[in-house]
Amino acid sequence: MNAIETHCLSKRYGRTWALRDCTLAIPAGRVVALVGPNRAGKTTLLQLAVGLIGQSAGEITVLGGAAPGSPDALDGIAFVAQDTPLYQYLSVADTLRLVRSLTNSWDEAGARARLDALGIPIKRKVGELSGGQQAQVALAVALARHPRLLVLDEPVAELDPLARHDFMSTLMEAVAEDGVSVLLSSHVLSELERVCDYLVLLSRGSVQIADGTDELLATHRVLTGPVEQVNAVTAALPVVHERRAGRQTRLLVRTTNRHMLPAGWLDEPSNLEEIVLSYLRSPDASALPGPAPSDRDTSKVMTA
Amino acid sequence: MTATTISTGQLRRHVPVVRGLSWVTWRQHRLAIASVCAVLAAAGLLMVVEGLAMHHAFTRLGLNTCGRLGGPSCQSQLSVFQQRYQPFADQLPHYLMLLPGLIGVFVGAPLVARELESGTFRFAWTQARSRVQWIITKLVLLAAVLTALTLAFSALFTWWYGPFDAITGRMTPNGAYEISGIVFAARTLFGFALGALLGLLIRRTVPAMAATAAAWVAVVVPSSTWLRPLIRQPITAMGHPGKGVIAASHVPFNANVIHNWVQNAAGHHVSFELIEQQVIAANRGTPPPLDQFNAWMTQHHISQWVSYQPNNWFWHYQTIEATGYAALAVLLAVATVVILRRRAI
Repeated sequence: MNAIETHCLSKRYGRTWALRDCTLAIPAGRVVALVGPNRAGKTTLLQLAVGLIGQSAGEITVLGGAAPGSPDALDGIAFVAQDTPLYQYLSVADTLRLVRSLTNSWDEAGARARLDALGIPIKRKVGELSGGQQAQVALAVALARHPRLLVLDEPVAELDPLARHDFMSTLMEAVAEDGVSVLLSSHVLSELERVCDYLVLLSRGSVQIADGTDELLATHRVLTGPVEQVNAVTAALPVVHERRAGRQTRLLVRTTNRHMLPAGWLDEPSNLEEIVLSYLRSPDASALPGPAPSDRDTSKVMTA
Repeated sequence: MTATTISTGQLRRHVPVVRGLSWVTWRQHRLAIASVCAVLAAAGLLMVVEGLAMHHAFTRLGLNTCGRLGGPSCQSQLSVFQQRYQPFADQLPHYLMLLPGLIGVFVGAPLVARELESGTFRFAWTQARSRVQWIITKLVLLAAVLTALTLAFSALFTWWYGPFDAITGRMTPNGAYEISGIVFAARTLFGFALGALLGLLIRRTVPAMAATAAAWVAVVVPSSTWLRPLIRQPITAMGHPGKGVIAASHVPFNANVIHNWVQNAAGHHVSFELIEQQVIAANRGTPPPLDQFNAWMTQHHISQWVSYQPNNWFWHYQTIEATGYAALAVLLAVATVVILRRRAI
């Protein structure tokens, strides 16, 4: 089953396309990082997925075929929006009660235990909490709904490094416990590398990478060698990005095989940050899996 | 001990527990509801205190037993009563008639605008209840509460204004018409729905409040000035000044007199001064005695007219006007739901 599936999904605000012809299948059961520069369309994609906005063209389904915003989709998806908006005038306890009043499944004990462990006073007004604590409240409330898919839009962007670390730890514990699918957008690459196992790179409104992180690491190599021989090397290999420094050149290539390289060349594994940055610097390159598998095919695989 | 436990348990079972969206509505808007209650209660208290004294004076002066209020047997007591109480009775409704607009501004406008402005709609509308359920529940529950509160207030006002209902009536343009009856509640609903829609469209709380106030006035003032008179043609009564019969004698004491005029045989309105000048001119420049003056008016078919709305038309007017405002309120509320559902926020 796919957590989110889109086909030629587009969203236009006035004359600007926030998202254009985005075709994507995000598998369920993964922790998916949605990365990309500012204004790449990350927030637009997430808001389309949770039903806050409607698309201008194309299709999007969630949780294996539900329309975003439909009762099933609303029930199964918990959303933590950018800057974690909460009612500042409500106490933490009333915030819990408010969400409990708006949901079908609710784990009051779990939410209270989580907040208690973080030392967040339940009677305090949300507006009196620090930014990190507010983000934790938003996360605890989202997790207490026991969603099938948890969507988070830049949840740590405004937090200090310590709060950021704590937030990610809470998230990872919950994922380990519940096995919830997560879709997390961020432009903080270093945070994502340790938590995510699937990566979607959006750039200028379209998808540039959509693949598992292990697959990405396995299919990308960094080759370093003298500038004079670069043409001979690149002729045989798909180069994502090339960077020259003095007489040395550094290539990120997309390949699964080891290649025979001229003497003086180095063949090394890459890391996610370098892969993402290379693709961002070469907007025409893309690393997409084949055609998105439809639901039926996947379920067959899963039952098999 | 056991008895106490059981009764508490039973009590708890009988207290209706507010849950779900109803609780959310209550929790988020209880301050606004409490403010509306406080304002209405303050005005209500003023009416109770002043009203008790006024009702007491009405009976103490014997105005309930002196016969026809417009008749000579009540005249002196009535003028004492009116001198003491009429100014306040004419003044208070002019302030109170703004309340429906203010309720729309303070309860209606922030309803959606505040969520959009603070970004909390992303939190509120991504829970398991859809935003259509969210807005419908809020609109319906708050409208019900506001209707109950304003109808109760109108009932209290009607009691307070009671003595003057027999004296000046409620069709007179002193504002009593706007507060008693059901127009007050209907206008509140109109203001509330107007505020909700403008808040959704404008997306900022304070500008939405200002726009709601402006739009409410822009609808209410012209409709009471121009549309209300169209509900029913006023009654006209004729008098023969030449025979000493004045039109006003046909008019009930507490009716609302709209117009009073004199016309000639051709049906043209004429001023009384003009008639006087003509009579003097016909008498070679000197004012004639009264009987000669009357004879001249009868001979020239001079008639005197009055148009008025009797006080018992009150409910006819109220029903039609309130239906209009309530229909507008429903229309605006439906538009709010439809736009909220469709709009890319």
